[in-house]
Amino acid sequence: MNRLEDRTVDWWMWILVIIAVIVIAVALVLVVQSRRRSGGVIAVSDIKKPSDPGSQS
Amino acid sequence: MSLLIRASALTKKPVVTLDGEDIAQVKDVLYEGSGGSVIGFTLSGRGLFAGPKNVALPWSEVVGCGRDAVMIASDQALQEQQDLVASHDIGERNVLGARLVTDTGVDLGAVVDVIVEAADVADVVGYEVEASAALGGDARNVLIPLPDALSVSGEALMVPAAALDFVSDDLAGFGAAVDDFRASLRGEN
Amino acid sequence: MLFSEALRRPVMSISSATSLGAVDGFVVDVKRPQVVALRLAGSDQVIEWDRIESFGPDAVTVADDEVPAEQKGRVQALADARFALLNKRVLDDRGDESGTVHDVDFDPESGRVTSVITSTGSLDGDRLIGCGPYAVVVRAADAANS
Repeated sequence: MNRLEDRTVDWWMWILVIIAVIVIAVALVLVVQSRRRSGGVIAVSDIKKPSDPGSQS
Repeated sequence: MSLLIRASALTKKPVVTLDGEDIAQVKDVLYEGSGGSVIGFTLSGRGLFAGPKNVALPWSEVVGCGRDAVMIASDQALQEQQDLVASHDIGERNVLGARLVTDTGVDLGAVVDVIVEAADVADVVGYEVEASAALGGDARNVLIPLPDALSVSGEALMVPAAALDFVSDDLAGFGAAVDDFRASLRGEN
Repeated sequence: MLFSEALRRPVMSISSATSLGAVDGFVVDVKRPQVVALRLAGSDQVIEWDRIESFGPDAVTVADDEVPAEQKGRVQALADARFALLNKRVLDDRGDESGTVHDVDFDPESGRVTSVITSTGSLDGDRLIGCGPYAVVVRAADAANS
């Protein structure tokens, strides 16, 4: 009886592992995509260019 | 000849060489916080699994910036991102979502987009805000013209209260509104 | 002559009077702009333009002269499917799209590309700038006139 219970637990473990792998794969794609997609408009304070117009008075 | 573009329309545009290769796509639009001139773009890769790139595209290297693509001469146009802009600026100073406040202390709303005038030199000429109560607040977006010199911080953007007289609802009449606004500022000075 | 008219035309060898195959595609050097080779159906082999004796109404005839190796190499590089013109989007140097390439008109004597027919109209062959995996790049309409 005990042994049967152990086996049941093992069986569930595999399902969980597979689900976890799928979740991680999907999450990876989503993270990459969101990093890629997140377009912004960025106000830069110090330009690293020699041709800085120096508009601050 | 110049063209008014929403910055959101620039992001995700493919960056294509004159040899017809799409080597990247636009991620962020970078502009100079005090003067408003567009410095360039950060880039990300084109594939499904491609992440952000370490190289950036300076505006001076852009051959053409149209409805469907940003054109460059070749991949030589790209520069290391740290040569173009300090890395701590990126991510901390995204103006999308920042509050737009007048110099008289009126909160106009959250910036949802930035209007760029693209010519040989590109300039940020206006902000699109989700109108707050001060602007009527009926959940519409309005375009606010900007003076030549800007004031920007991580949390808020400042505009002169006089800009409120030159607000427009769409891009069609906005170019003229910017010109009128800037002319009136010069007149006062 | 249009690409669509020349397609499936048999390629005949003059010396042996046998058919080498049917025309299946065109290799174009957009920088010149010039058809530099023909593709044959069911074969990786290309027929370099210099080997073509005449582009007749019913068949393309080729001599058996060998083409210099360095020229062969350049044609092979251009023969990559990534540089094919047909069905590719057309993008001008300002960054505006104008349809896709439907057909190409070329001079059967010289191989020169005279015009490109797109889904939105036709444009002069001289306006071609480049052709890559993403798009065919052409000079914008106004810039070409000036």
